[in-house]
Amino acid sequence: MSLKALTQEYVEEAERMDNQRRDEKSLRPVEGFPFWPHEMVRNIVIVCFFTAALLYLAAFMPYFLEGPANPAGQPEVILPDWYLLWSYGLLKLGNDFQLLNGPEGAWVGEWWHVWDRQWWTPWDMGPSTAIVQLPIIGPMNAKLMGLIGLHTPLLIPLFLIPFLDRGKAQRPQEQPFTTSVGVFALGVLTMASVYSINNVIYNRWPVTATKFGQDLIGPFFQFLQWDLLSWMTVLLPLTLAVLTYVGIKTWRERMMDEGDRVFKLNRNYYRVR
Amino acid sequence: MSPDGVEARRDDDFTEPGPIAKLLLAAFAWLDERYRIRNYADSIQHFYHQLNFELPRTHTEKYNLRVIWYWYPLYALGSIVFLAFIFATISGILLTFYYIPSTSSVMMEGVGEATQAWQSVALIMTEMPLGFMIRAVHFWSAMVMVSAVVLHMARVYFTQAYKKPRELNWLLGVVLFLLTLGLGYTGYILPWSQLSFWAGRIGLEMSLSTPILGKWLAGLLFGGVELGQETVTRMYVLHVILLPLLTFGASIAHVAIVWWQGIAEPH
Repeated sequence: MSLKALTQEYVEEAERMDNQRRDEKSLRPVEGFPFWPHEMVRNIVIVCFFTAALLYLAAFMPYFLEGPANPAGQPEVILPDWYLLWSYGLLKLGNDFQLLNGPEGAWVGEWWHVWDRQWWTPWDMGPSTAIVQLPIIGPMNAKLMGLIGLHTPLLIPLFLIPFLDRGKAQRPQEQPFTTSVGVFALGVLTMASVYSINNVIYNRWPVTATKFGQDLIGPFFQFLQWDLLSWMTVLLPLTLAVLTYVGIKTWRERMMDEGDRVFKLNRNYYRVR
Repeated sequence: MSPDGVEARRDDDFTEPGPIAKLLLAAFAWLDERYRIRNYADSIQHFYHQLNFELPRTHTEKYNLRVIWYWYPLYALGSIVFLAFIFATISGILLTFYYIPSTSSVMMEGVGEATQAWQSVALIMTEMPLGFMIRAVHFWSAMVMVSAVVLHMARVYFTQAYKKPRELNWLLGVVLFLLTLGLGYTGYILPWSQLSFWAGRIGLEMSLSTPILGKWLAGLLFGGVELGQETVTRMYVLHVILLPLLTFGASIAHVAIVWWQGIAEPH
């Protein structure tokens, strides 16, 4: 059967089912409500307020201009803009946590050296140089751990979300797992942003530099002897996610029971016109 | 007959057209004789009918609601992003008239050695009429755009609006999110201030650390393994031409899909 015939058959079948539903006055699933004009009219009102606020901010809080660049004088704190702090924080985490590489002479085998920039650099210069240089490369610097090891687990799932999470549920209360994953991701982004200024925080609150876990874990897993701030960076998002999950599981019935109005709305369907 | 009274909106009986309709018809005929636009008129009419008569009813109409839904403001975040982008574009065009993407060294009174890029931004702030205001509008709309993008993403995620008919639009949205971050980063470099320079160093180090492609990537994005004139040129082209064009095209597609599919409603 040709592609054209197959397509024609599909279209005919789809139209037949639509007509059948129309005749039977049966229902089809909810898809959405119109963007124009129904949604846009509301938006226009909100957008007017937004414009006013923007002009007000621009007039009364103009942006400053930092001094000119000085390549010789590195400032004590260097930072990207606030919305990229999470990325910088992840780089620092990869560097400081030493999750996979560990400190020099640690338990991790040498094959982790593939994470290292120094391991790859000789290959840019050609295989012959690489073969000479590889054995004398020193301990790795873990930049790549932060760059790839911590960024990809956050960014790749973003693209996969709609294909991993299916089904009809459309409210945060209905799917506690999805919701707690979202809370976890937001928590990680926030705490990574905080971690990006860890030096400032150590100076301001020295208690956050206290190391934990020596007695607990023992010298064998040295890489787990993190300070308080690092533990918080890992544990706060986890705690928040667990709390969200447990909270929704506990109070879900009550959250969704607002008479018969709200919860049953999702069960309604449109008539085909 | 449909139970919803759709047919009532269609007027089957012919009435005498008014003067405006006659004028429009004449214009249509004039154009049609030259460009044969009746084909397109057909498809536009079809599109209009699909939009107005085949999409579902409104939220309020469907559920017979009598309250204003308290989540509505969260549904305006997408519009706010788009508007902030328009504001940033307009103020950015004005800034482009005066900004010079050059790292040539200049001596400035009271400042010492600076680059031409930094000097031009300083002149925008001090000499250009309302320059500080235009730069502030550019800055604040960028801030609002990034925050609204993040909040919009969170709204879509928690109301699970990425589900079945809307998967591809979510992917487009993620691309737009990354483009927004790229716009922010490249714009942060341009004034060539102390903050810009060292943020540029972070980015340069990141691209150098990529396996195999490291040097190539640094050369492509930053113009070499050191920051300099090539970096500013690249960031300027990215920030002023490439990324805005991509962002604009992608957001038009994003909004068109939302228009076509309608808004997902979670209640």
